[in-house]
Amino acid sequence: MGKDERLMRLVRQGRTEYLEEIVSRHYDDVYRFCRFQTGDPQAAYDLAQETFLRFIQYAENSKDSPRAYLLTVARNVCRDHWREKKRRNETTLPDPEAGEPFGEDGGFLAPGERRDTAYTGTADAFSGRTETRLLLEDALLLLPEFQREALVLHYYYGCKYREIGKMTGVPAATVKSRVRQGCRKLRELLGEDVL
Amino acid sequence: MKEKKLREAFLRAGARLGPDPAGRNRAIAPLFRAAREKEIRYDPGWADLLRAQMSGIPAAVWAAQFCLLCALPLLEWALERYTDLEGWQVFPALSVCMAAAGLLTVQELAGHFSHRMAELEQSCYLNLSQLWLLRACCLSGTDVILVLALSGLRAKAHGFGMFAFAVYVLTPFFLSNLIFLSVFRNGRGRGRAWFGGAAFTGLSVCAQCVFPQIYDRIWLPVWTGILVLAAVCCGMQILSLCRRMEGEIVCWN
Repeated sequence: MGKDERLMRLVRQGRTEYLEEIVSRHYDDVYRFCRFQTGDPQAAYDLAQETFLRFIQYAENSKDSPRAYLLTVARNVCRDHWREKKRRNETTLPDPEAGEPFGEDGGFLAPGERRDTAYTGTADAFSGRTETRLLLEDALLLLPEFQREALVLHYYYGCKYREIGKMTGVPAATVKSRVRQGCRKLRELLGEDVL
Repeated sequence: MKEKKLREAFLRAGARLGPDPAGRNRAIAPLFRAAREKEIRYDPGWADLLRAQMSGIPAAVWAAQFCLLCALPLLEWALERYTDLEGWQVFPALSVCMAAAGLLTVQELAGHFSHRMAELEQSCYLNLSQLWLLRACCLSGTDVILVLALSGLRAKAHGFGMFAFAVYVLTPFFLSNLIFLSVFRNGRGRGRAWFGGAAFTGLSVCAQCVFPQIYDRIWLPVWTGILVLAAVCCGMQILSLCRRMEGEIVCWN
């Protein structure tokens, strides 16, 4: 049994002090996942906080390892976030066609603010790494949400297709195809020589 | 190669996207507060409940069940080795063993209906129905599993199929359980009812000796029907007893 599982067992037995250790151990992972998903540091802080609050609320019911459980909750929280944004019609996803640039930190720019890179704003312009300084995290934001989460979970967190399928509620074959399609798009955006 | 490159690119991106230490501390502080205020509401799953109930059954009951069930193959082996009995003639003896195992199960379960027991358990916030049901399933389930294992091992030696062997041995087990549960439910405090139940169980075993032809292949569907009916009735009796425990009348003995 790993340390995480031991901690969760203690938590389920009522030793809530170990919840703090779990939060500490996994905060960065959850924050990064939210950051990959939104591209916005402030939103990532808020979503990570929401994720952990939900985790703390239902900690005794978690059967998986805390990491898998937290990433599943984080994924749902990010989905809710996007859904809410769409509902309010406030989506700030960068639109390559319109030439909306990304912020210095990988997040979105405030209205009127521009990034001092060679980024020209169209998907075609991303194809040559030498012409742009588009980063992987920026390119990820141009992918559909389901491909982005599959790529991040697979390549950054090292989750297997089956595990991602369990987290996202789709068959492993679907996850595999999402990862493959996502990779192809990333290569188109960043260039074959980069990836 | 490409996979490795992608993984490295993601790890580099992840390193760029980490939280800044000040922001992290600010974000974590309310989470620690929430963790400290958290009250765990223990909600055990079926596996936990089962484990707890298994440990709640007295060791003496387990030992008695174990002895009876060990006696089953021993008896079967001894009869075959030292007597000239035919295959079917072993079954009445095995039936007695199974009926006794059923009686032990009911005996253990009946303990929960003893005087003031229900109030005591209710005041300790135990779910009596759940407890009863689980214990019934644990004890009966163990018997059934062991009998099935025995059937698998010994069926061929008697020239019966595994299915027929299991049916011939399990039918008296479920019938005796059904009889005792019915008597327990409807004939509490009436000695005659208990006596009648015991006599009926004994006679049902004797009938097998008097009419050996009931072990003919042709009667197997009838045996199977009786077994299924007895198992369903046993389940209904247990559920009905569980329901009877709920409601305003806690202790009804």
